[in-house]
Amino acid sequence: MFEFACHEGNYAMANILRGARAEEQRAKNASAQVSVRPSEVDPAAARIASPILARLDRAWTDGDGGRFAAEFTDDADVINVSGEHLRTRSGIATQLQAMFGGVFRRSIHRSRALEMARYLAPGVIIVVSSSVIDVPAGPPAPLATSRQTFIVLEREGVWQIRHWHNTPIRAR
Amino acid sequence: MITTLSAIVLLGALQAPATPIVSSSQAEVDVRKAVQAFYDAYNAHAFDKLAEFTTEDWTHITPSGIERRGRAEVLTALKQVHSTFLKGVTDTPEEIAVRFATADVGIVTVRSRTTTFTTPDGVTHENEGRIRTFVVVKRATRWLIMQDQNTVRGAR
Repeated sequence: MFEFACHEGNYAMANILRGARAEEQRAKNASAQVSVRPSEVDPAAARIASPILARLDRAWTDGDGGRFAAEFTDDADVINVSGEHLRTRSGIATQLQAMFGGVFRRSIHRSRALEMARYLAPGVIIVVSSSVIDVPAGPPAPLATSRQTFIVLEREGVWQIRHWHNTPIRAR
Repeated sequence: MITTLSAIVLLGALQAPATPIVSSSQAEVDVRKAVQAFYDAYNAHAFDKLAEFTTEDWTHITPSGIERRGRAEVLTALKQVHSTFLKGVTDTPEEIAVRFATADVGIVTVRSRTTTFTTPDGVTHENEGRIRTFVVVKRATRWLIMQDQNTVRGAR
């Protein structure tokens, strides 16, 4: 692999390896534990919400729209940071996959804090969390930090997101 | 033909979620009433009236992503911004969609449009489109808003 007579190749190799280390670090950050604000969080609800957020982070970071959407019910609704309304699991998967190939290519999604998690009824929890997206290509910085409310339902022993609403956090 | 149709109907029934989406027309009417009352009070700037159809633990997330917890804190913040840069501003629903997570939990999506206003940073928001989620819960016999979150449509 290493060719002493190939100037371009030697320099490129260093950059390739540096890039790989950066990728590893970004992936590690993405799977970091979500912090919890204890006073607003029911531990039982948090035990349901936290693994879902971790799986969403990993699916996003892997650029896998299908795996991301698998956390949602068949009939789910998503309001994204641009105020677009995505409908159904397959619609969410398709839209996200397109974004992963475009503006969010190689981006990292990190859930930063579980701000609220509580039961509304048996088999239904409401969650508020905040997250950040690291987009190596640069924009869209104004939309990179966001807060989301989501409703999670238990159906046949599986907890999935029925409704997700996201809003960018920005100074006004 | 009938057999094929029956098979399709049966297949659809088998694929239905274990916890069916509850759709009671009276519940939907009541949930819509709560949300419409919210907009009526908001547009009349009668913020104290919001207490009648919100829970005490109401959480409100603004289009800037700021979170306000508890009805008292939400009302204080609403009165503050509506006495300054949002003075006289209204928000008119264009479409209201109601779904139910369970018999006691409604999820409402509202597309709306505001009148023009200028934020303290000097940016003018001309007839901004919004999309808002309300989580409406049944407490005793009444449907009350316990959470809402608002996002600007077309934000880039």
